[in-house]
Amino acid sequence: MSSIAVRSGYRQRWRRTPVAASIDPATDAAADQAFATLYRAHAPAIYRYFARRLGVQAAEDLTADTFAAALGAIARFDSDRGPELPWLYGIAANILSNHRRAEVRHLRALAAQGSETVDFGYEDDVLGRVTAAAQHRAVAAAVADLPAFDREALLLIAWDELSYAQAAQVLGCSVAHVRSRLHEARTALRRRVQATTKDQS
Amino acid sequence: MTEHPDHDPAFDALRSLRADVPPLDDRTAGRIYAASLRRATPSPVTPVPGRITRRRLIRVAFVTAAVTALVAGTALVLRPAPVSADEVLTRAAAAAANAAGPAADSAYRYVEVLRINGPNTLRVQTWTSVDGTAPGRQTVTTTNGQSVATTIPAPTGESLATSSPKTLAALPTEPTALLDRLAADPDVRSDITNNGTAPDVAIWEEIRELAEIADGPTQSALFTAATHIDGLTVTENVVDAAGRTGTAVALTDPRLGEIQLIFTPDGAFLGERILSTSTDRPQFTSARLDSGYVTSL
Repeated sequence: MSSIAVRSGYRQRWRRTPVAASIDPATDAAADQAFATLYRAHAPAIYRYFARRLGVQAAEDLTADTFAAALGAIARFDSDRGPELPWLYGIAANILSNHRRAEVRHLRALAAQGSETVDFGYEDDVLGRVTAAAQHRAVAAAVADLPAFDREALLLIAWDELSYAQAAQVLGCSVAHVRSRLHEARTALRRRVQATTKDQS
Repeated sequence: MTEHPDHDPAFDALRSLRADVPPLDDRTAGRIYAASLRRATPSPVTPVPGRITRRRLIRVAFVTAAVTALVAGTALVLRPAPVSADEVLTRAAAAAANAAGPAADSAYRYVEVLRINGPNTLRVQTWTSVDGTAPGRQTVTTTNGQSVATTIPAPTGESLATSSPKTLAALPTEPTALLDRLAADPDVRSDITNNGTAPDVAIWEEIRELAEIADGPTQSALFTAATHIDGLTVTENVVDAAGRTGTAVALTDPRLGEIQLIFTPDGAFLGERILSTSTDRPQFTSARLDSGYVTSL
């Protein structure tokens, strides 16, 4: 029996719960049940992943795409190769890769305007205005400028709270590579925030 | 477990950025679950060979009628003569050239669009300072009538998509020069270098974005420049977010899908759609309802 990391609500922590073991695609009914279990356990995390990257409107659509793809591939899911949450994040990251430009634009909008307003296509932020901060603008700008791979690695760890090992599994690379890219990304982030602080002083 | 070896204010700032996104509520979760099942369900089984279906009967009747008409020497026109992407874009460029051009620096560009993104439909009205020196305004109205107006900062000018209407109006009109300018835009460069997008696709995507906010003469130049892009296709009877039917010119991004611009038969720009590569389902549809210049907010 394998166990997986399940995000509990939106608390900033992970707990370990045996869920993946219920995935037994031997029968349709079992596969349906397994999918329902998978969805209940992980939909909040996947939805949040997209909502934070692209806004809640896109999140609904893309979360559905992610679980539709997961349902199609559930029979091929091999729990011996790892837990299911990174597998789902891998599907989600693949779907998100089709929307990189929108993501960068979203970040640039945050960088330019804080969270008060956003760019075309993500007006839901207008409906949920929050306080803007210079540091937020600086980090948003820095993240927008990162290469796609580095940005994905950084945000999987900073926003989705994956471990290096989980991020490596999502990205299909070694932990050492994640660590190295993350180091570069965080350095870029620090430089941008320091420059902002200097400008303000 | 997350590994954060040291205190890092920049990383902390990043972690709190967009941390306020609303959680997945039960109702939305139910909708997404249903959509997941629907999208994963294979299409209905094809008819059994040999079985006479209604569709088959119609097809047989249609073919019989066509053959009969040809034998009788009648010129049977099955569908309108196909138009090329060049023709559609050239017609669109001519139509756009007649629309109002730049206004006074102190004026505001007004653009009203309807967007369908997933289950949501929004009407977005935006007023942007022509010379980019003053804040603008944006009103977003949801389908249930809830409307939120907000002041938006002046255009940042970091890229063409975030530039002032005056900057857009000053773009070169000569197609090659305009394509060079588009190719040099930071959004396009980032698309090519960071995301691996093909240059033609990145430029087409840029034209799609600018077409929505640009005024007539700029649109005209953009559509003319677009005729230099290879691989454009034409699809008839495409419906925009407002339910209007037109002809779409499209370029396919292998990762994103078919990126379409929609025009009326007269060449007026209606809006845009992006069809998902995997499902052919529109993942984004918008319609430009109105545009122009106003003297003040």
